[in-house]
Amino acid sequence: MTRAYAWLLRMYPRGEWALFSAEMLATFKEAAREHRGRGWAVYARFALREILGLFAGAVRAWFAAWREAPALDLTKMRPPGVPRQAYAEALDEVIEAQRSVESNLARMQHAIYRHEFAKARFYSEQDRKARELLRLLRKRHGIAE
Amino acid sequence: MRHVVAKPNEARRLTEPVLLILMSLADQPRHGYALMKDIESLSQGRVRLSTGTLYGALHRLLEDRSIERFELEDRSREKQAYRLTVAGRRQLEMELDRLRQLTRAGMSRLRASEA
Repeated sequence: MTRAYAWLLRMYPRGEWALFSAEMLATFKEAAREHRGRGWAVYARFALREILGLFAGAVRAWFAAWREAPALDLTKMRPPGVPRQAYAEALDEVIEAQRSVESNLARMQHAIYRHEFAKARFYSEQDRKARELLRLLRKRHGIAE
Repeated sequence: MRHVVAKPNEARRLTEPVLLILMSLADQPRHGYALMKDIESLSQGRVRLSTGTLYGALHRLLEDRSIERFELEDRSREKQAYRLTVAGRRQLEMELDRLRQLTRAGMSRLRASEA
């Protein structure tokens, strides 16, 4: 059941939910342990409630993410006076840094799932460095978040 | 159709899970599982939140800055705890005031119909 729950957590949007999912899994494990001790019928009701709650939560999270996403991000358009080539290179650098942030976050999440906390702390430090680099690049090239 | 006239700066009406989470955090910080247990006891077993519902509500409350998360001292359990912010406490007080006012109005109507 725990494995199924961890798998279903992937339905949630990535990003900030990645940090929540490790915590949700830990809370679920604790609740499952308690309900298992109260008999088969109680545990089955609990499992059903959890699965339905996850589906509903994921739908709400995706809807919220979709509502907040801007249709057209004017801040990423080339400012007047900046050559096209220079701006394209700057954007590439920022996109690369953004990918590095996302990849570290995913690795950290995976390490937490596998209870490899030393590894998770390593990726957390990498994540901090990647975010700092991204912030500096955005500042240098005048690209808003 | 239901019409609700909102006063300026009036807080959004809270859903029951959100209200119960704020009530649960009013006396002390709690982590996810402790919140689930406390909410069940606060509602006398009527409300049992799933982790999906609980963390959805916590996510919204964090975005609204009504609560904040911090790491428990017991690092071995890899848990985050939540506590009310000043804005969250104010939000809870306003909602409880609103419910108190509604209860008072409802009781006075009932008494009037019985008299």
